[in-house]
Amino acid sequence: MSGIDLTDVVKRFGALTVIDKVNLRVGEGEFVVFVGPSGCGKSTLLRMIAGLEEISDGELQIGGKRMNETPPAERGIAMVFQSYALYPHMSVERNLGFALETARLAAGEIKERVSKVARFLKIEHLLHRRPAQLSGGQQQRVAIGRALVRSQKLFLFDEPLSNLDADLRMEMRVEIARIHRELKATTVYVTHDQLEAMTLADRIVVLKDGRIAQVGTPMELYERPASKFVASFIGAPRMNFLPGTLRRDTGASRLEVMGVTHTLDRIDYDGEISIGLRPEDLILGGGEVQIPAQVLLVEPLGGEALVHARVGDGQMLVMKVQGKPDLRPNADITVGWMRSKAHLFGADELALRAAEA
Amino acid sequence: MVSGVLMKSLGLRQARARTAWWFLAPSLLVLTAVALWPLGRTFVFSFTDALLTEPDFYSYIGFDNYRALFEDPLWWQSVRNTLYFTVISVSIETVLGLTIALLLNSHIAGRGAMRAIILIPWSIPVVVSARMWQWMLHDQFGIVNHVLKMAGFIDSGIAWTANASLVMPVIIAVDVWITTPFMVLLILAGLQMLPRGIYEVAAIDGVPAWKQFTSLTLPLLAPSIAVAVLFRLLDALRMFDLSFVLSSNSDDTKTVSIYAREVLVNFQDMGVGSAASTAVFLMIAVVTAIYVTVFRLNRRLLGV
Amino acid sequence: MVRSNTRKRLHQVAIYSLFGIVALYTLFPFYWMIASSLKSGQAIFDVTFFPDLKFNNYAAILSDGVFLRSLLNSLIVAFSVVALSLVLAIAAAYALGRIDFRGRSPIMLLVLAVSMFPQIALLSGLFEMIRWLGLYNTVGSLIFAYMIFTLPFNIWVLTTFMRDLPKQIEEAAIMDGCSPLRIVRCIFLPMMGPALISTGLLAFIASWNEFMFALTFILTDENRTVPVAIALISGSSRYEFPYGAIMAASTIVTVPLVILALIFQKHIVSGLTAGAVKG
Repeated sequence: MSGIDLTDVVKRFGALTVIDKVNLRVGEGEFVVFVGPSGCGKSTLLRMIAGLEEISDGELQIGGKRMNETPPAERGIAMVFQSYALYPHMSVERNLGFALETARLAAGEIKERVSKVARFLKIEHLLHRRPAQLSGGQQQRVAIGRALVRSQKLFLFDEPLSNLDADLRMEMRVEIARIHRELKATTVYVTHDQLEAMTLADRIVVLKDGRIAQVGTPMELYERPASKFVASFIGAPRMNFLPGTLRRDTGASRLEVMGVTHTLDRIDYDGEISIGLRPEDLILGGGEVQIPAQVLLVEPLGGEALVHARVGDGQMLVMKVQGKPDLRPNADITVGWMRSKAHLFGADELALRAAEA
Repeated sequence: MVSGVLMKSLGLRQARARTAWWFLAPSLLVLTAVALWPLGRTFVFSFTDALLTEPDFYSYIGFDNYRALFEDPLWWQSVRNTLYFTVISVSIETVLGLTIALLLNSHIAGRGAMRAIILIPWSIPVVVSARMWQWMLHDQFGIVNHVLKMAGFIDSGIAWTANASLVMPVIIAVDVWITTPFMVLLILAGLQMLPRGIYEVAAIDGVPAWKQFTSLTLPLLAPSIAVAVLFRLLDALRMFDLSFVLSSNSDDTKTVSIYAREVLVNFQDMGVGSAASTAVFLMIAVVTAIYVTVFRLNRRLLGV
Repeated sequence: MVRSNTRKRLHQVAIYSLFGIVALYTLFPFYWMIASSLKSGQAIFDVTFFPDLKFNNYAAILSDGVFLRSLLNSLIVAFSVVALSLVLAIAAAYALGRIDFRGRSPIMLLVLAVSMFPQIALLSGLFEMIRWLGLYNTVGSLIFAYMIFTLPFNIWVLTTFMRDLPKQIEEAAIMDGCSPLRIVRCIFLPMMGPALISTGLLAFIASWNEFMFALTFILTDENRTVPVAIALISGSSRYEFPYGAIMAASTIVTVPLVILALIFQKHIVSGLTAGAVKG
């Protein structure tokens, strides 16, 4: 029993509301990732679940029990911190066993559980070192190990990989995925890196200004972002946005973008809109809708390349193409896309969907 | 039901705040017992005719103690002595401290050892320093007179600590010896916090060394010096040991602290003694307030 | 080129001569104290720059029960003050450095104000308090009274140090189920080594050297501390002043401090500047 239920949860610092009526269910065994730009409240929300931050209003339940007033150590939670927060004066072994020591477990049992976790994380050879003698990746493993030792059913990760370099980050991402697969513990993971969110999560929660912008599986968020904000946050390189005008007709809508007009299934909207196009959905010299553009710069990435182009009077586009296109700066090209791949956002920045037939 | 739970357990912040008060309680209790309460009692005693032998029996006599204190020429002399000592010794120590600190801040071998050496006078008991200098300044057998005689400056030994016009300068000199290291260390710490880059820029721009000192080092160092001077000021104003050991009975070097203790302990007059203590407290508070205000003002005027 | 080299050399010579003068000025009184303490009997009155390495003065002072007793008293007072002021200050520093509660800033201000109190201003009130506690003429009176200058300083320095310890370490400990007391004892205390050495040493030196309270609150010889004992050594007349014994006693009292100061030079300086710069 380790699911989490957040009901109308609010966090206020004085007059400032940083978490505003959040409702969320995290199922047992689920891996949920909180993403969002800095200051969106994702870490605060995690710390409220942990009990490190008081809940101003609303209710937190873990495993069906109200936990608002329960001390952190009694919530059945283990947590991994961004800075690892290893105790610098203790050996790795003592770091791992410290929570059990605090809970007054027998020395034999502590030793047994510590060595089991050490074996699981492949850090047995480090047990007698001090944190300062470990590399960043090793420290991260110890920090995870310290959480595992307590064999809790709920894990919280607060940006655990942001202090690592790119290689290690990938290695640890795989490791965290393995741990979750094997232990099946409910996990809440905070990151500002959408790639981590996409690769690790069963479901992603995108936060903005203390509110949930969208909840869904990585593919749902990628394919059907609910708002311009989510659309630009998920996916790399970022989604392109072009201004356009949508005109409602009987039975269909007409969309005008960069002087090109085409018809769409009827959408119940009339006015200025943003058209969102992912770089990987843009087609060089093809597609159902095509607009003229001018090459600014080509960035070859090896197997593929990013083409930066200018359309209309100063609008910029990035498109991802296979291989290395033979394009020179200032060359005139056409950029196109399939109608079904265009994401439309109204003036309120929310996604527009075709009306049900 | 829910409100029952809420009533029972404190919020996280409240629990933390309660922990804070528990952790603070012993220290606050001790500080109250050793500082706040005694300060208040001293103030109260200054309006009574209490005697040290029987502090429980007293009656209030208004401002009589203060009247007696302010009519005592010896009190005013000790005020003068204290202020004279403070101004002269702190000035010398500041200039000397700044000079030695600049010297130690240059990058040459041996400055670590020098830094260790200058710690020594500061770390030993003032009483020992006083005794040491007393012996060196002995009129007949002291090394100072001996050297002066050998060099032909004087014919017979000078009674350094018995001569009314010499004893204060002697005390100031010994104080300079004892506390200049403190000044040096604080100013040195300030010097080492100065940004190195600006000197490189200044050197490239061809700013001469003395100009670097007056227009970069001194203004940037001013806050460090000001804090160090404040500490010394507070210390010098309550000076006790040095005068007491070097010239205990001389009116020429009596400080306000010695005066107050003498009335209190030797004459057993708790009333006037407390009045003197209170006056010392007010004197130091006023000097501190003036100093801090002037310094702030200066800072604003100079825009440092 | 040649000229600038000569100038450079002159500069060096000037600096080293200044070093030499400062060192001589600082150290000679010590040398003289030790040299005098090693001259026996009347030899102390002949001004010779080299001692004759006689230990009579030491034998005399160390066979003097009163002096030994005062040495012991000083040790008891200094160690007790260090222990007590550190324990109290560590607890207070946790509250002031790690917990954001209403009343924090007024208390910090109070601590700062108390550290500036002139000791003489408390003398009569403290006298009454000490008598009331039944501590008059005991070393306990000094342990109590010395809290006035050690406790505020220690609280101040340890608070600034504690404030800079990483927040997530404390949170990790909270998640591990530690009470505040256990956090302080098992996590923070071992991380505060340098700060504890600094504050402990400064408290030790201050209590070892204190004179006015020790003179006032102790009535009888067997309860005195060394500064007072040394201040009160006197001969039967001005001309029989036992300078040999005084210098020997002074050396005994000073040498341990000098050794401490030299070994822990960095800690002392950082403690002093932490108190001053952040104070």
